[in-house]
Amino acid sequence: MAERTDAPMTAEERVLIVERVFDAPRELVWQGWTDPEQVMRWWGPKGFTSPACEIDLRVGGKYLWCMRTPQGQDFWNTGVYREIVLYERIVCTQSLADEKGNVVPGAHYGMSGDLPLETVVTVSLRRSTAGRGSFCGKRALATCSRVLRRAGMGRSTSWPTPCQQPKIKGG
Amino acid sequence: MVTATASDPISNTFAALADPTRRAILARLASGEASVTELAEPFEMTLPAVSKHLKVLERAGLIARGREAQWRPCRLQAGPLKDADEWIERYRRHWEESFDRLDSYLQELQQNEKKYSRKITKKEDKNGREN
Repeated sequence: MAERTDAPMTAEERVLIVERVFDAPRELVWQGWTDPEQVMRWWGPKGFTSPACEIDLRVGGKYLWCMRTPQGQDFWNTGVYREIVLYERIVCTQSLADEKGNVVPGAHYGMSGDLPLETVVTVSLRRSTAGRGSFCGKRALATCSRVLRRAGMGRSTSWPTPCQQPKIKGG
Repeated sequence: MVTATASDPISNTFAALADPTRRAILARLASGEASVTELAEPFEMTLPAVSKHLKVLERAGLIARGREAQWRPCRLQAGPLKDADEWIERYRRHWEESFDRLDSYLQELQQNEKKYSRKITKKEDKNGREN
């Protein structure tokens, strides 16, 4: 416990990682992330819906995603694509926005004012070897990282990865 | 890249937590208040060096120090930790729950595809759930 280094955090350490194994070919997961119609099927936490989604999938292109709370409040997110590698990787910025796509601070939505104005989201899709042999399909493992540009975060507090097992609900 | 300002308490919290010595100090204080000398013991550090860390923690509101001139005990202040935790939790929940929904959607999609392609006969496809 008593580490004695006084080194500043590296950029890699200011990252939150959420990993998930999907029972689906990688190409399908990719489409789920990049086709507006499909994004609207899943974007947002439990009970939310997504009534609108625009995607201009090219480097420098923008997106504007909307999610609606069960109470009917809309939250818009926007960002710019920085890197796109087909079926493998998307790097984009992410900010809160208004419905026109203008970046807004958290206060716009009544959130306590500590949200970074912009974070960087990296979506990595790779073929998973988890549960090999028990399933014939090609699983995709989606990894979503957020680089918290203004906030340092130690490795010890990085995201847990609770979903390493293949998820076959009701199976 | 870490720019902590007074107007941004969570950045202050994360910046303060970004150092292993400071995390160790907080861990120590979790079991009760302590003096600077006591806190310095486990580290091969000078008292001024430890004091510097304590100042960072104090500025971030993670510790409070007693007023007694000689023995100024440090105490853990958990409030900012709770705020930081809630902030992280919000992101985590957002993505986990969105991934749950993406997962359901992908299952649904593949099952619909199967209906149209009868060539695939998987004898062990038991995950025929409806929602």
